[in-house]
Amino acid sequence: MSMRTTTIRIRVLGLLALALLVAGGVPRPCAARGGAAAPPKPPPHPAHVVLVILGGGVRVADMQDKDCMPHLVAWAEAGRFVKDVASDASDGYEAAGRILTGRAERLDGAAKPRPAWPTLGEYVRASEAVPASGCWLVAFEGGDRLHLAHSTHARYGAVVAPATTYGQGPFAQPMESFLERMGRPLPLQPAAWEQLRGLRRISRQAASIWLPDSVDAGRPRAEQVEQALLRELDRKALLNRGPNPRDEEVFRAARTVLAVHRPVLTVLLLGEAEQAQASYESYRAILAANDAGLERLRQDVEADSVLAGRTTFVVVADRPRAEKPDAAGRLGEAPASKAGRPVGVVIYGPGLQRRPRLKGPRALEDLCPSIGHLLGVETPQATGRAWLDLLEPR
Amino acid sequence: MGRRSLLRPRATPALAALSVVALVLGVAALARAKDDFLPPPPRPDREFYVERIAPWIEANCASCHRGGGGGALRLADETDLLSDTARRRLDFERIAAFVLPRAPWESRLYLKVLAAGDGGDPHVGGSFLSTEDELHDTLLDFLSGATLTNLVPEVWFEQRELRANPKDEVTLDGRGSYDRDRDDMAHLGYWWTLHARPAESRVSIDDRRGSRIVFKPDTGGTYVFTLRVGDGKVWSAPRPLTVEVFSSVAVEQREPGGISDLEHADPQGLARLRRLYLDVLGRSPTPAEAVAEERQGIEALVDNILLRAEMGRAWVEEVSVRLGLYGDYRPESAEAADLALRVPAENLAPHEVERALALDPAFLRRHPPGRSLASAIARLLLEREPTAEETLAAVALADGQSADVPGLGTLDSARAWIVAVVDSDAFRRAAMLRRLARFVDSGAADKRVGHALRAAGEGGKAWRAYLEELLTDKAYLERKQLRPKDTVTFLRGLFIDLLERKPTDRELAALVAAVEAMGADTPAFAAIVRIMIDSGEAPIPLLVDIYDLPRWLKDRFLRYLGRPPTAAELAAYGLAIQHAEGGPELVIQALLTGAEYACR
Repeated sequence: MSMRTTTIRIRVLGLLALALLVAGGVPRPCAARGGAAAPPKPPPHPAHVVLVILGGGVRVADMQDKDCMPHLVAWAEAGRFVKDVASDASDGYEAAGRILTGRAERLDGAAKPRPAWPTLGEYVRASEAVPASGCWLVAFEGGDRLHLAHSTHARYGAVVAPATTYGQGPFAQPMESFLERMGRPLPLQPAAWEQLRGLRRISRQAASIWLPDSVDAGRPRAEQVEQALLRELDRKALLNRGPNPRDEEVFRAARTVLAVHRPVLTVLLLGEAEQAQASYESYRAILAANDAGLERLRQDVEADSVLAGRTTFVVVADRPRAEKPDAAGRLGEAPASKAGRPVGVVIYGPGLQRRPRLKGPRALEDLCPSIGHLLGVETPQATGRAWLDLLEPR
Repeated sequence: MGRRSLLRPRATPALAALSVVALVLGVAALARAKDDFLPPPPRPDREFYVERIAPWIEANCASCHRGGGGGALRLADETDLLSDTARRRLDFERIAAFVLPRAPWESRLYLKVLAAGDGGDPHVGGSFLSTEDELHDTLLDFLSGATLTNLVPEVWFEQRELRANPKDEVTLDGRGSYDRDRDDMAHLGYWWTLHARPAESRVSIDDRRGSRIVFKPDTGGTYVFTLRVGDGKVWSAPRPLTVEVFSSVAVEQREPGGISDLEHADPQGLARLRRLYLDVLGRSPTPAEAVAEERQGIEALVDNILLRAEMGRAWVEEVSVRLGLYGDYRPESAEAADLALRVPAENLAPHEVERALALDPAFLRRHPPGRSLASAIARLLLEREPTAEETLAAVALADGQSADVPGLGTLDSARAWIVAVVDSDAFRRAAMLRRLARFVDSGAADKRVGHALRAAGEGGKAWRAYLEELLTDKAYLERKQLRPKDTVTFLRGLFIDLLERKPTDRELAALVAAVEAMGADTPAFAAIVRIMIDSGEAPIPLLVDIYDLPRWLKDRFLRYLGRPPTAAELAAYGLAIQHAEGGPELVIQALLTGAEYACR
């Protein structure tokens, strides 16, 4: 065999191996030949997205700082961290409007009107025929923040608005007056839950022949939701408010929403990082507390059989902050820039390409079509571009 | 504290027990054309607003409600106007839409700013007033139609609901009414109206102008009187006073939380009584009611229950909640306001009750033109899914165009659509099926609907006779299969069973909204049970105060489930009550959050 023939054979084998790799990796014989079943392949796209807007301005560096936001850094390592996403919004309200509408429109932050263009929540509800309970906006305060839930657009608007809640939480908020009078319940100890479960079971058995199947009281899923509601109401949780009390309320409300409704889209609007204007130390403490809140959300999702493995988290800062604190220990707003001030985005969960090549400029308004792409939802009025270089194709 | 806050009703248990004032409530607001002799209740005065109310509105409401801000109230845009006075006048026009002259105390403006603890509605912007605040009285004056020179007098009753036996002499006392301008009440004028009475009654009022009147009911049923007071310049809005007349059994009171005498009750009689209470009055009987009434003959019991004003309120509340008409969307029309009281008085048929509520302006506010209207009309009124053509028609109406609705022709407004639907046979049938489904399963309701519609078509008396026949039927009374409670029935029953009182309309509306927001009934019910248990308001004895555990447990089973415990249950609950992590509270929680309690 000549040297030339050998070289050609090596090249052909090399091309074959490359073709196999491109086609999806090496063959897996076991599953194909009836051996032990391979673990189920995770779905390429999520069925649920949790979008967290870190309002109040957060530096890119802080989102990459293991000392400050260790869980978010871990998410970025397992998923993707995108820096240099341009945010030239004048304030947090406008930034959130851009993220949710996918358009770089100026919003008058002082008047806080509804956006004129449909929001991501409206797209999700309109195109997928999702009920209001399948799409939520959870804000750190009421009123103007909730204006971002839906637009004044003629073809969208209130009809396909997502459900909204803030502060007290989706269950507690409507019965605020009742709670004011009756007080809130105390948490039930695990041993008490055991007792309760046993008693409910024995009574269910006693009446089983007369009970309709539709009554789920005492069944595991009903108990899971009951525990989530009682967690939201927990009297003690109100006393231990931490450095980020309003953001903590958002997390608590979001946990209820996720546990009860398992929404297609959940948007959390945080805002305590604004404290940076007063104290750098407070700002860092808030970010750390919010990081812990994010991790609790992730754990809830992982513990839920429907959400686990099918939920993607998108965490984005609404605007950046100055690089360094001033002499008074305050961290001001980042100076304006022609190219837009950069913020960070973390995407974690299914729907990401394994080895993406990131290219081209990015902006806040890209998030709406990108999340639309993740969920398979059209966002026709958005002018941002979906990050197809980063996301699994559909 | 202003005088009004002293005199206005508070959420005391006694008052709450007396007034399960319907969700819809405007029961307090009956102003129909029967007192044409008097001018209508005064409307708010613009100058009073500009002088006394506008500064407060601007300080508290304008930041959110001006300049394209949130909520239904849109104050004038600052850029539109030249002067403060002109702007305030324009604000007044907008605000006047949130005032209910026939029942100022039910005005949306008032309830939105009132503290939740005083009965205010949920408000994104928070509450700004309590009944202790001086401005509270001023705001009520404004809503009542006060001018800068004269405040409107106010009707006051010690009790707004009275009970009597047939042939009893009943005294209606309006002498607590007062003038906001003067301490001397001698100049007050009174005007009584008999607003509703049973169909067969011939009772009338002899002295319409007395501060106190006496009447003698000639038949059982619900009588509704209204009183207006005048100060020589203006007449107040009418306040209703309800008199329920039926042969009531004296109820012996017992210590709250203690053991009732239910163990001596006939189990079959107790089961029948619970069924009637849960199905017709939408709540379980109190132990005292159960002990007093379980031995009554079934015909007498059905007759009594159908006469009660509570029956009308329960039904109207249930329909209102189903249509989404509660909280911000509580009905506002005069027809809807006195509906609950007309039900037992006039034996209204299902389509008449639902029609009045569907035609209320609040229905269109709750389900505005567009997809949500098409869905509401189809699902809530006609029990089916909306068609694509109907959805398109609803969107066209939302765009201000006329629309072709299949089967109904060309319609030029959403209201015209609703009117056409509620006058249709399909709606009558759907409403009747919904009502029958309260008492029988859906298969039986289908079989009965033709007969029931004929009875309803013959008038109130025939419809009432049909209902009596249905509720005394052996198949109905001895049915064993359980059915899930609806939200309102569960909550009403829970208040009776746990707190030993009826819920106020505000409490009911708040809890219904919370359950609806969750879309998961039984877990939400269970959480509410826990709130009530931990509130300290539920009379639950300490373990050391229970001397006879098996007897106490049996009593709780009878009260909550209408049956004694099985041997296995007695053993398990007996252990749990003595367990370190158990106790009486956990036992009660288990009973009230179990599958059986969630059924009726």
